[in-house]
Amino acid sequence: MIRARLDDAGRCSVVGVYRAALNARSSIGLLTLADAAVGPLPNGIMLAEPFDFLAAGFRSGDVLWVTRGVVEAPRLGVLFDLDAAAAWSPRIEARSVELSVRRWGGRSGSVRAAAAAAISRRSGAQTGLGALLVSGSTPGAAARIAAPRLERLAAALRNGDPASVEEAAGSLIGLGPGLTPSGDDALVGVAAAAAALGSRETRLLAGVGPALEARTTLVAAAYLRHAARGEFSGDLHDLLAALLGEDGRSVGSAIDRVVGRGATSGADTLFGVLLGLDALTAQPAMARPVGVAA
Amino acid sequence: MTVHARVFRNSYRDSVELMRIAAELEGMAGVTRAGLVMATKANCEVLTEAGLFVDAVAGAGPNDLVVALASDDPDAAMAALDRAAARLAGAGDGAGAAATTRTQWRTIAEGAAGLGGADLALISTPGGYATAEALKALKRGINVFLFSDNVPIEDEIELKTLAVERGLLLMGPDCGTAILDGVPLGFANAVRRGDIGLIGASGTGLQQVSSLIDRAGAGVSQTVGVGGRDLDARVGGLMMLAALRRLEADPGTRVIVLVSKPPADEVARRVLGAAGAIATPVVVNFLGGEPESVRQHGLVPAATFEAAAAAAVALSRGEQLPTPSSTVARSDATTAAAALLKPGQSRIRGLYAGGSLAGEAKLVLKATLGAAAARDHEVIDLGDDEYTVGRPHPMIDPRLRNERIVEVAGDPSTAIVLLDVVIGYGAHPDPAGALVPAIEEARLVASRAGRSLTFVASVCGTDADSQGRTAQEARLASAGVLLAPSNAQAAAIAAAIIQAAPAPGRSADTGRPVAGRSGGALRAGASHGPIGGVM
Repeated sequence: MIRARLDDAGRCSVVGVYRAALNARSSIGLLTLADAAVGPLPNGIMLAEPFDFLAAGFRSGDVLWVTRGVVEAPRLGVLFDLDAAAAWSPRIEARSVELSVRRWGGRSGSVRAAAAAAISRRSGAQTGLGALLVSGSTPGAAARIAAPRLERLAAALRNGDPASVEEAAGSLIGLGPGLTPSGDDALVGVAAAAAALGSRETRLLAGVGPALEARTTLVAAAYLRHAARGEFSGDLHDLLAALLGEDGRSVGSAIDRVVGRGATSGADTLFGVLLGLDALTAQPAMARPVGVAA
Repeated sequence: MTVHARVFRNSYRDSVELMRIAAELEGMAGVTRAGLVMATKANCEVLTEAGLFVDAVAGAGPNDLVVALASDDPDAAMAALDRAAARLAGAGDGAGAAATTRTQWRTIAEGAAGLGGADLALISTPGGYATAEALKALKRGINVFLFSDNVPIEDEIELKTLAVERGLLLMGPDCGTAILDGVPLGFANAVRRGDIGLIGASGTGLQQVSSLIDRAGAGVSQTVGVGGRDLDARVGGLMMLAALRRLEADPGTRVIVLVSKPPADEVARRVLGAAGAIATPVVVNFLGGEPESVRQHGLVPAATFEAAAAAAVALSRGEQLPTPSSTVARSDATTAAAALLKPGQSRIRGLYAGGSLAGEAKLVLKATLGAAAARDHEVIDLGDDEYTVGRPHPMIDPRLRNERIVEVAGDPSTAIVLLDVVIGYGAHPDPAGALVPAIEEARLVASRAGRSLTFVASVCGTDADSQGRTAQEARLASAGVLLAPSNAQAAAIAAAIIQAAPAPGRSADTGRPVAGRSGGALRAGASHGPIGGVM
């Protein structure tokens, strides 16, 4: 989270407590505190050392005070000192398009195979869109409904058809199982791919507006809002860097790390990244150099 | 078939939990179908499509959780919904967490005052804070085990200088292993107590030496970690020297072992000089270091952790020092493994979780195969920074190494995979169990290409460790892994197999996959001509 904004967060209310993280509502949006293993998040404060929020006694409804340099949980007497925290930029910066297109062209087959393997290995990852990547897998109801919408989105991105992109993307919001529904995770994935390619696909997240919180969960809405600003979690940074980077050695571990997130969130996000990379690199416009994304 | 549903307002349960609950409900008697989704508009459509939408759901909003199930039996349905409610009310609230009354001190000062007589502080804060905390402890006369890394060297020098002045120990920074008065700190094994004292700058090195001492039936008095940088020229071995003095004065220690990478010349002279001047016999394992200078100081050199343990045990028992053997006798197992290799399979791939053990393996390969030949093989320390950015260390999380194992199986030049399996406190609860699926998958990958792989490993630890060394070895053996009693022997076995292998075929059949070539797999059976220039 942008440090300056954090100082104004003030009183926050804890909504969800997990072992490695907690979510809190604040006036500046959803805030997440997470332990080191979760990695940096666009809306997050990452603790440098392992921390078990459940064992520490945090509960839904707890009040957190976020003020200059400090996050305090008065009921527990716990204090997180932010002064020594290093700032991390959640923005994915665009890479060289020509190189990315070329590398993706050569790699997409083996990456798909690696993704399918990682999803098969992770129990539960096939409950959402992950099933669509694994041959022989039976997609659940949500994935079956999502599949044609995802197809429409891919086609619209390939053809550079903004109205259809907006329609298809909008139809995915709030769809699917999970605290962050599959469709939302996939959209974040597509957006991350678009950011890495410097694509100017501005209608992709046109559905991110004031009414977003009426259409999907608070947590998913937060990540969609960040995605709309080009801000993504560290996992996605690493994934795109591995998929489009020079030597491809870290692809396996980056995929594994993303798939390991949540039950289906990771696999769903990965689905979106692959869809985005495939569709956007197939665009005729991609043959010419594109300007850096806003 | 009726649909029963219940809405839980403002639910923030994470997806893994929701999935678990859904699976549990579907497994309950009388439940035909169950769905757990957040009640977004899109999901309400999904529920409708699945025939699970009922009026109760109509009023729900996107942050409400819907549990909907189809059942012929209303009682079963109610029971299932109640079960869901119970699960959702449980963990995640902190309310279900075990209540322990335990005072939580939040500063060194409070802890020292509250505990009274505390003489050790274990510090594991981020590097930037660690120095200040360590200073607080030292100033109160408390010894420090400094687990934190990223502590600047200037701070290390300041802290160790102060510690020495006060007659205290500062173990670290980046110190992962110690056993003081029988109490294990950080990553350590449950070893028998005895009269051999260990001082080391390498964590897994100390673990290997102490475990081997235990295996030989002897025991350890103290294991003092001094931090990876202690023998750097600037730090000057301050803590190793201090620990030497301590152990010399300790009536419970009758043999001392020093473990480290070879120090800077000046530091080596100082440490060896100090060790030579005390009455207690000292075994020196400066991995890859020069044995002559050690002997000149009247000390016992040991080239490997295994040799160090053997020498220490002999000294402790008043027996003759074992003569180091540099070759592993060719056994049926190594010959059989060698016979399975296809032409082109020529490389050992060492995938290590422990840095010092990786270093030892490299050394053994060099000594056995010669420096030039040893370069063909690859031994990696997966705990190195470049692999662990943003992920847990491989000693705790096996996934990184597991995927590497499968990856190297796909490389036609891979003949042997060499592994370290470290157990004990702080390690994974079942490292062997976590490795076996990856080993099996790797074998599958290789066999599809008509190759077989040999896995060689050693388990570093004891039977008193919770994982149980024998049990871990048995698990690995059942997966066909060749086991060695020490890491040095494991590396030697790998080398022996290579030496016993059939001579490599025509050079056009060997070689490694060409990286970066687009269009997918270009097999290394590169009888396509010269490989150079394709990049």
